[in-house]
Amino acid sequence: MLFAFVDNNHTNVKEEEMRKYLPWTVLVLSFAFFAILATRTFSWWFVPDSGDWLASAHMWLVPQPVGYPLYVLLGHFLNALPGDLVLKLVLVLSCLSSAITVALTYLISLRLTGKKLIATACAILLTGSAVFLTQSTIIEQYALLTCLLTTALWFFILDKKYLVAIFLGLAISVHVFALIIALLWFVSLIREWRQWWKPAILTAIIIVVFYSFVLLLMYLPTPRLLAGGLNIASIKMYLFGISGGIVGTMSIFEAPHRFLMIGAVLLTSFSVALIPAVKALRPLDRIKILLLCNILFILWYVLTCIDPITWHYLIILSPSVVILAALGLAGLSKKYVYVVLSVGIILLSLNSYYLNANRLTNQDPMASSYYDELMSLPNNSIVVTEPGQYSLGLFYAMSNGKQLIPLIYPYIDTWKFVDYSAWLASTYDIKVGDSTISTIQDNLGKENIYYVGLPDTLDKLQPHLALSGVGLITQIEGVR
Amino acid sequence: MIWWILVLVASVISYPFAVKYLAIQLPYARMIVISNFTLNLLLILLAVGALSPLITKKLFPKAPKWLFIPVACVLAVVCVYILKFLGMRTRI
Repeated sequence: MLFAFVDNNHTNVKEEEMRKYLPWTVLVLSFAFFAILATRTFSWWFVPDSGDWLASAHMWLVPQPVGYPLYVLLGHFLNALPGDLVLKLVLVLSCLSSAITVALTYLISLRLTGKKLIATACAILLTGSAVFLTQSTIIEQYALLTCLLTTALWFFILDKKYLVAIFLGLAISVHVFALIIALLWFVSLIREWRQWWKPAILTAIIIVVFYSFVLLLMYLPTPRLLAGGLNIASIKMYLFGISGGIVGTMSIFEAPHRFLMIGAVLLTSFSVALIPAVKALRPLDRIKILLLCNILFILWYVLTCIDPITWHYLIILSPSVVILAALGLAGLSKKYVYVVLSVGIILLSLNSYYLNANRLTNQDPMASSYYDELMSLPNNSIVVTEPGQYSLGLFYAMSNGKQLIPLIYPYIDTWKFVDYSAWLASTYDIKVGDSTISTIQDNLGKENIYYVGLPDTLDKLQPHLALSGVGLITQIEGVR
Repeated sequence: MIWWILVLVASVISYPFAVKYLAIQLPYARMIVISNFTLNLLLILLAVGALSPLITKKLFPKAPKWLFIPVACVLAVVCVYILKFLGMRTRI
């Protein structure tokens, strides 16, 4: 349906047939490529949040801020279908989404340049691009987000304003980042506000409908693991509790290292294609301004966020860079296209080995080993850990029916996680104190209590604990 | 063509570092410096400095050139309040 809008100007029937089937060929081949490289089991490679998505797809739970409602709903839908949940989430929401993105990038490049060779080179470049590849082969929402944004761009080029609005709304419902991108798009189109104000309202309606679902989950008695109940304090904590300390707070002294690493990542993703991409910026037009909005916002976030693994957001700008490269290559001689094509093939080959999620997960299956260890603990054990991949993996085990009691540090102590203490006390037969240490102390002897984390993490908690055993999960025998 | 060769060489040199940075399973274990002097603050100061003469010229076309200084101050204060409203906190 998307590809039915391909421009058929050629009178040559064979050429027309090729133009009709080529996007589908690109889609199928890139899907097969991502599917082969995709992780098949619970994995922490590249981004360690998959426990959250698996838990949120399996049970009704407010996921990490700020909700990702469309992704969670799609996860529940896929969970209702037969088959392994990990495979379904990674193949449908990541691999297929990215394959559609590659096909759309091919179509957009073809439409804007009229040259099949350039479009093909760009499709190959995007498929093998480092960050794009990593996010297309794991359980994360960035591939779906990028797909929806690229679809919005495609419909913008076709001047289908309401479809642009719908896909922007859906993108925002997958990840709130798209809200800033959508706002930048609408601001850049401010001179055409008469044509865009109604579609903008449609986008707003879609956002309200989907994010009402997050508020509904807060209202219902869902586990208070990542969000509190429906009240102002809880919503404020949910929206700004973590982001306020992360977004834009990277120190100037860290900047040289961050610039170097992001520069290295961009070179590993696009290499020489960056040159025609930069050249294409002059002169600017409506489409290039939208592409620039995507690129500049994501670059700002990745370069100024204190979290060092925010490089994975670069997937969002990947199609935009490749499309700009296509526009730049259209003004250059064919030899440069062949250079970009060759570099794309080399990067695809190298990255398909070194950034192969399936190979890396088989080589070091830490996540699934941790999951198996959790599943082997006695029922009704208390598991003490910190927010992050360990707690999210714990929630995944709990969503699969394992009866474990999550004691997340420092929810009770310093984060004053709204409703968490009350929820713990009402849900489990344990005594909940004023702090994590007092809660452990009050329940020693009554329940098995385990501690999850490396020795040098949780440095405020771990020195107080008498631990026995070795490995990732150790038993707490006492409090010092 | 010289730029293409330079970027190609830079790509080859940076590849092993980038792969090491990307192919991780745990959160990045490097100690990072935290400070209230953030890159964001510097970018805001640069943006305010670049935009304030343009804004002054637009708002007050006949005003003297030095008027960009108070306009820059107002712009900077507005930026700080917007960031505070968005939930950004300082760190030490």
